[in-house]
Amino acid sequence: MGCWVMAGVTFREASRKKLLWTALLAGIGFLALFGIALHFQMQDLDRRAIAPFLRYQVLSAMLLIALYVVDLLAVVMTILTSVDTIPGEIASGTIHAIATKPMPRWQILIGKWLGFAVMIAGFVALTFGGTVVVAYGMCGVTPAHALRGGLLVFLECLLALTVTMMFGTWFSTLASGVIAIGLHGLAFMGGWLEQMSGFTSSARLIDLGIVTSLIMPSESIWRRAAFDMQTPLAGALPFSPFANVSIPSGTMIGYAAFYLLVALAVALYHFHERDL
Amino acid sequence: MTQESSHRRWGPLGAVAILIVLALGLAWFLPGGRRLASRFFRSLRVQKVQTVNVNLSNFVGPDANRTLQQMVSQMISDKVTVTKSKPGASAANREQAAQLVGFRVQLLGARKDEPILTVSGEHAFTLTVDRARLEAIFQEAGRPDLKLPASTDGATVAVDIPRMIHARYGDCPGRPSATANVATPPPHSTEYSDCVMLTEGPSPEVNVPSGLDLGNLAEIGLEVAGMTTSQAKQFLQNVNWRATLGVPIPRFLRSYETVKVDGVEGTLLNMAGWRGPTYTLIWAKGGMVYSLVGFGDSSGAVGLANSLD
Repeated sequence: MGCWVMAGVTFREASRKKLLWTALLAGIGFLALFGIALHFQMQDLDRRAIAPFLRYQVLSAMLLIALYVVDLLAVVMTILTSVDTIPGEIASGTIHAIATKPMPRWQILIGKWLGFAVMIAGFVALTFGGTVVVAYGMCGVTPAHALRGGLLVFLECLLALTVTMMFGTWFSTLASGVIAIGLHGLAFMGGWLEQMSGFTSSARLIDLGIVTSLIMPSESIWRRAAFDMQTPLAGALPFSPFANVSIPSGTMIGYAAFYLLVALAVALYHFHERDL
Repeated sequence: MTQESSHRRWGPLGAVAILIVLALGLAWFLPGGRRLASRFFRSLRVQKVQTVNVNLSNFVGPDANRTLQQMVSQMISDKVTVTKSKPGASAANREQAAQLVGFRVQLLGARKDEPILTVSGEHAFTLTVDRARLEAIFQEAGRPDLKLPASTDGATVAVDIPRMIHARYGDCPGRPSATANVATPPPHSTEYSDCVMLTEGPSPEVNVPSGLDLGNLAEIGLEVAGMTTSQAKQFLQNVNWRATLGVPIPRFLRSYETVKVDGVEGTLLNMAGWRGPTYTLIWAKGGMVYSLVGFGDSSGAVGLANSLD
């Protein structure tokens, strides 16, 4: 019960700080840009004699790139909005007003986590779902397994949220943000290194990518989502920028979920133990 | 006090982290450790049975596309088992090349310069048909009418690609690189104009389960390679798709025409790319498939092809 109260407080706090509105505006801006770009692309394609199915592939690749931007935007929004919640309240002393209430510390942390999780779910639903709806409405293109892809993007955001909150129980706002974004940057680089391994069939680059995905599995969740969402033909004949060079397996997604749970457990433990 | 607090903050978690790192480091140096790590790494990525790595386009310029065979096999399935993979080799002369390939090597009589001869490897592989994937591809390609019988699901397609001869005449560009389009300036319009590349060899053998028409996939592959729907249809009417499976289909196709080569019908493809070859001539005769790729004037292609001896 305490968790849900805390989740509600977190949600209202985010609303008060105008986080919800700015995220909403960013999402709408992104969708508008995507819609305009899609419109221009379709006009250009209309002028060329191109087979309908190839036109579909071009538009489908564009949709996948847009979903990648949604993914990046969602992860960065997650880190930026949640990074101040624990260290900021500790630094300002606000946490004393909450922690002295008859509420265990774990409920405070889980409540905040749930509040942000609900907000992120809304943001992902708006931007991811909106992108899919815009693409379908304008040119009839849909990703394969859209729901699975959307859920994986949400899982990636939850992972970023948990890691950010975990570091927030140790470090200041700025330090936590730098570490969380740095780790995601590392994962991002690792993912593209694996992708680049396709040029030279380099097993060492793949191993390097796997090691970075073990340190931070966020990008590999996206690459699995991209694999699931691509069209069968794009999968068979590597068309998209997320071609099937090294595809994260179900075990990797399981590892990411395990990583999330461990990070949450560490955050709970440390938040419980530390001096406020 | 601050130090105490700091120790308390890092204490148990830090110790667990250090223990994990030490255990992993130690395991790496144990005999079974690396094997275990390697198995763990492999489990984190989707395992493909084996990728088909049959490159028949050694001498084709930067405008070369994937071979039709590669495209078709990638569409059929990810489950590929390589049953034969013999490496290619270079040959000093026609006799040595003939010994390697096992058929009489014909060269361009109209060229007086000595060609550089290489023999491509011999490859065979089987593909396990994924019916759902194929039907999804047909659907995507705007051919929902193409349905496959249930019996094709899981059936095997066997492909056998025999050795082929590649003869390179004149000053030709090197092998295409992944970064060629951005890293190198385009060639002068006359650069490589004396370059001609001849490929010859027996037609690949393909055994398919009944109900699966690979011609439809070949048509989709040709469209992906840059042909329009009508061009792909007409091209396959002129040229048996089996004959072209091992031949790289060029990108940036401008036009094509049916021509008479050595008493049979061939197809002359004119390319529109601003780099790379200007034409490809494909023909088949007596169970052999030939392709002639040139960087110069395409009007000389048929004459060159007719000079085979």
